[in-house]
Amino acid sequence: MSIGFRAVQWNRAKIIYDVILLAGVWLFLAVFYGMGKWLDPPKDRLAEIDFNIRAFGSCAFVMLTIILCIGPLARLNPRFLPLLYNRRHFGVLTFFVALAHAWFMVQWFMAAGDVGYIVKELTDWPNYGKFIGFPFKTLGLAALLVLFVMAATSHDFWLAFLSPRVWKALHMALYVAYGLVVMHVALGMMQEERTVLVPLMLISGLGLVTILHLIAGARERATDRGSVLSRDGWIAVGPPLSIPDKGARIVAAPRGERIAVFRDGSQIGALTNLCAHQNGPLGEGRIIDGCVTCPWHGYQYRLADGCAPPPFSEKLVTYPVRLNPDGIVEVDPRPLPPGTAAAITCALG
Amino acid sequence: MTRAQRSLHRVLWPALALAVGLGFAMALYLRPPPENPAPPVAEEPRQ
Repeated sequence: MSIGFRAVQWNRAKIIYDVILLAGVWLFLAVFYGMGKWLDPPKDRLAEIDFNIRAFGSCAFVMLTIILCIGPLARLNPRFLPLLYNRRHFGVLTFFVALAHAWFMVQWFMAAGDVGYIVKELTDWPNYGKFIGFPFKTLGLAALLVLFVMAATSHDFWLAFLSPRVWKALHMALYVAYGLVVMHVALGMMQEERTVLVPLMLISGLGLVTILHLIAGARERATDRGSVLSRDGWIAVGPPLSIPDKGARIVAAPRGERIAVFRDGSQIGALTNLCAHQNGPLGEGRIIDGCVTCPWHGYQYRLADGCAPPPFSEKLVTYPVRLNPDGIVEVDPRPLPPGTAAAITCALG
Repeated sequence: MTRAQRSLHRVLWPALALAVGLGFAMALYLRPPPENPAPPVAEEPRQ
């Protein structure tokens, strides 16, 4: 199967998201410049460039912190889901802000008349054996490289080409980039500046991101433990009315992938919890216009057979569903081929 | 996310947070002390 390239599909939500994003960056920089120039106005050209380095570097750090908070926040509270919708544009903009930070660094050496010093600093091999004195710019460059790979592969073309599984695994490198950025600042600016602001910024950013991920991870662990299977290997979901109308209950077999059991009136069907687009959590979505709709980017599938409505061609794995003699909905965790009709209709009440 | 990705996530985060947290704490602890400001030059008494 070949993968075709389609330019970014703009819609109103994406435009609003990007406008807010750009306004946020502008506001951060405006406040940074305003405060900085008021408290300690740069005295010469070099100080002015140095100020640009700090402004864009701090902005990139804050943006990266926010990006890493979006995932766990959306898992903990659906009200944060709109932030996740266009997170890729957030990531691409962060790369450009970080690139501007790096460019001002080069400009600083150009203004100082010693561009070659950057290479000298990066290739000062004995310093790589030190902790304090480690060439921290290397850490920043490595983080920038990771951000570049993320930004370059953020388009849906790469998502389809690499498959959602590989793409998602690749984009987990963002965590490594964040670690590199924290150490870049800790071994660089924090060593030069005695102000408490730099350690405070790093502690609060790293602490917030870590705590949110640990809380979200602990919550997810409970679902991943899986449900008890019946004698013939089916999972009990509950009475039909325990499944919210136009919503789902998520179950999993021990060591198995999650299954989203949806109810649309009297129709009950089970689909994989993984959206075909980005492996988003389908079971946290709703049935809109008769289709199961992914909460991340709105990809839609028919409940009856897991197929996306025409003209789309995505197909999801479905699971057999039955109503046992006690009136309990059960699902067979052995998947059917993608696009197989498996939903049932049952009397409610 | 798939089950495998969630498992990786759960292992990766605490390990990364611990490593970076430790690195940060060391960087903070080993920070060189601030340079003492030069003592004011005493003015020579006027003759």
